[in-house]
Amino acid sequence: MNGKKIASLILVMIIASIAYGSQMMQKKSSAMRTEATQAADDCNASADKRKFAATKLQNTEFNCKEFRGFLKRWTPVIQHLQTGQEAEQALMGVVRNNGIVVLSQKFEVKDNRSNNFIPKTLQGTLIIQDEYSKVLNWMGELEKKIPLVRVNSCRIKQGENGRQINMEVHFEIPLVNLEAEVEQPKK
Amino acid sequence: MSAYVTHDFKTPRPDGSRRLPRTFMLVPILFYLSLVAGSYLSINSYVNYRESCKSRDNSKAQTAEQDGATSHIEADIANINKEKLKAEKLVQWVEGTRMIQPISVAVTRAIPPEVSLGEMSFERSVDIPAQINLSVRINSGGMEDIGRIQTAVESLKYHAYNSQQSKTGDFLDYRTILVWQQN
Repeated sequence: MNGKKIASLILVMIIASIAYGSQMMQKKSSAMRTEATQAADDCNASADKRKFAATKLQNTEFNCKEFRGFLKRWTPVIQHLQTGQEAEQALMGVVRNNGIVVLSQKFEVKDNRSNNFIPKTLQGTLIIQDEYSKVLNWMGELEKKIPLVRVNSCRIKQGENGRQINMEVHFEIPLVNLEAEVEQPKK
Repeated sequence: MSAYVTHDFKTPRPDGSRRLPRTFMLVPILFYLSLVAGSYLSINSYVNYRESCKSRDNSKAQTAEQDGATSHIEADIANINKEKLKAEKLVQWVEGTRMIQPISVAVTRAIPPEVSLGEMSFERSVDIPAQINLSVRINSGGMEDIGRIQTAVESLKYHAYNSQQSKTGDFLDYRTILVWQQN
């Protein structure tokens, strides 16, 4: 093989490498284009997902509006009664304001493990003996001033004299934990 | 001068190579052509590559942004649902806190002065706290007094279910379950 043939062969090899390089470059460009198209598709899918989520949010907000409003309205009342002591003070405040005669009183904070939202309740029993109107006014005020109070039982009977009545009230005041993680009830 | 030099100026080159075939003349032409075409294609591919790369990065950034926004929205939905669950629990409680005082006042007022009220009790149902078991004992009263009590209770939007009366001597015992009527 002479020098001219070797030079031609080198040129042919250079041509081949240029062709190979161009082809590789094109392949790489094509692969990147596919990747870009895939990324654009993912972006569109993501945008659709966002739109769907936004619509769901709107619907959820609309459906839960009343419940959320209800919770918001009650939040100040709940925040006012966070401990057994606060609940007891509120209750005794009503008793003092009305100046009724309390024969017996018993308060106890009970745990409620099955309910995270209301983990504790102040349970109490009051035996009152006073004038009919005073006692009923007191009860009305109790239920009005502590709207979360649940009167579980109330027995009214004749007092020591004709004007008096004797009332035994068992009640519960919930100590609500607004920060609790409430679980969806199992169906 | 020798005869050899006079008759042939060309010096014999016994060591020189033979000419290449004519087809080999295409090799340099092909070389230049491939150089031009290769450069064009490479530049074109590179530009496309860069554009695609940019487009991919933009799309990825947008996807990340959209996903972030979606996660934020989903977190909002979860929070709203949690609030709803709390509100439902509160509603359940509040349903069982309906005031008893107006009922006791209404029952007392429904009984005429000549009839005396012996005892009155309200027991809230443990399973359904919205229901109240009312029991009243009246002395020297009759069925018309029971009717008055029922009317008084119904005026407060309560419905009396499963009413029972029993008379023992002068006493008339009346028991019923009061259920709140929403409408």
